[in-house]
Amino acid sequence: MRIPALVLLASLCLVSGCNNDETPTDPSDPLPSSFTQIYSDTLTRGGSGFFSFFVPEQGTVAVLLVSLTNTGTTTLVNTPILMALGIPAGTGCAPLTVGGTSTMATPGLAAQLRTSIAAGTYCIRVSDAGALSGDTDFVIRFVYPNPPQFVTSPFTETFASNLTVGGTATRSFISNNQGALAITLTDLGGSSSLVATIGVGVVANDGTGCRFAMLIETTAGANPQISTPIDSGVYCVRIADAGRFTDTVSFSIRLAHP
Amino acid sequence: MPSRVSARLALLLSLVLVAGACNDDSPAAPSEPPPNSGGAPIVESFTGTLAQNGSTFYSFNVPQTGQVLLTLITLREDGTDSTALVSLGIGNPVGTGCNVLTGSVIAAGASPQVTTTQTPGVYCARLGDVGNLTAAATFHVNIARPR
Repeated sequence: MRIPALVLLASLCLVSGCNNDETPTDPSDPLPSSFTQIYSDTLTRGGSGFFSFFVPEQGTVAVLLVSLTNTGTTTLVNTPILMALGIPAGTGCAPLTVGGTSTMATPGLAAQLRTSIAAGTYCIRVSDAGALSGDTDFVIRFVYPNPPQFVTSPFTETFASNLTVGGTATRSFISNNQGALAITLTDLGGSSSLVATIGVGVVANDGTGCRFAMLIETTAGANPQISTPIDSGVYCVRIADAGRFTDTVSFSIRLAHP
Repeated sequence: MPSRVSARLALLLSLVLVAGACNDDSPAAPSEPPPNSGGAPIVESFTGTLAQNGSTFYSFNVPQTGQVLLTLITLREDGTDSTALVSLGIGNPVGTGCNVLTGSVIAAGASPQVTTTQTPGVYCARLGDVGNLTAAATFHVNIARPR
């Protein structure tokens, strides 16, 4: 009776020996399951550019044209440009031919293009549809998958400090939900006639700071000076002396989030 | 006798187990299709001008697993054939460029300088000056890929 036991033991060893599929595989970096990327560059008059990215599985990509400014300035451009989702091909980006994958867009804080795509390599193509009067700097943010929604109640935060003559102050903030953002300059040195510029946008990744979707000159008041649709994400608000300060002044900005 | 019978049964059982283990019941992995099984490869021409210290890339689709061959056929500086070494590689389009996975520093010639096997996807061929060009150069790269 000892022989069968030995044979069984030997057989089990052989079984283990046959199990050679356990060879460790090379570790590889996991594919990102979500990302937020910033594409900033200069669009020449009549020109185009593109940015390639890979999505590991079916999902919704949200493309937001944040900012358009005359190259080398902070002057906002409100001329629509063409944004299209495509596939890298040749020396360019071949737009997809299915509906909902291209749009004429002006800057904002809510995605102008939102569409579901299968796994694969894609590109965002921006081009002048003929309306730009000169070279234009742009900032595009795209998020995959669709910006998450957090179950939070609307809330308000205050950005208050002092502003020197010719100075600026910037604050980053997070929008947890898609909805409406209201920005109110509630106080500027206790004056109702003093003017400052307020801008709201996204921090670019090229070291140029806050790139604005909207930029206004305003006095302080009780009602929102900026109201705009906004996606969830990270944004920035900046206040600056519009060139009329004679002394350091205090300010208070109220951000009412969706 | 009973013990000899049971020993034989155990031996038989063990051999069956061994055979079963070596002949796994899990489905066999599908065999890889032979490269370029869809017929003759398609050749795409990538032509243009390579700036001094610059780079340029061309994106293409690989619809099925197979060989991709890159051939820098001509490189001309100031209108004459150049023997300058340049980088040629295959990679993935990422951002505003081409992230090279496989490549080498080569001179123009008739034989493929970069040969790889790629799974289906979108790839790019990237040509770059590594400091050897004395002027902008016109070039012609052939990209042979599965049909």
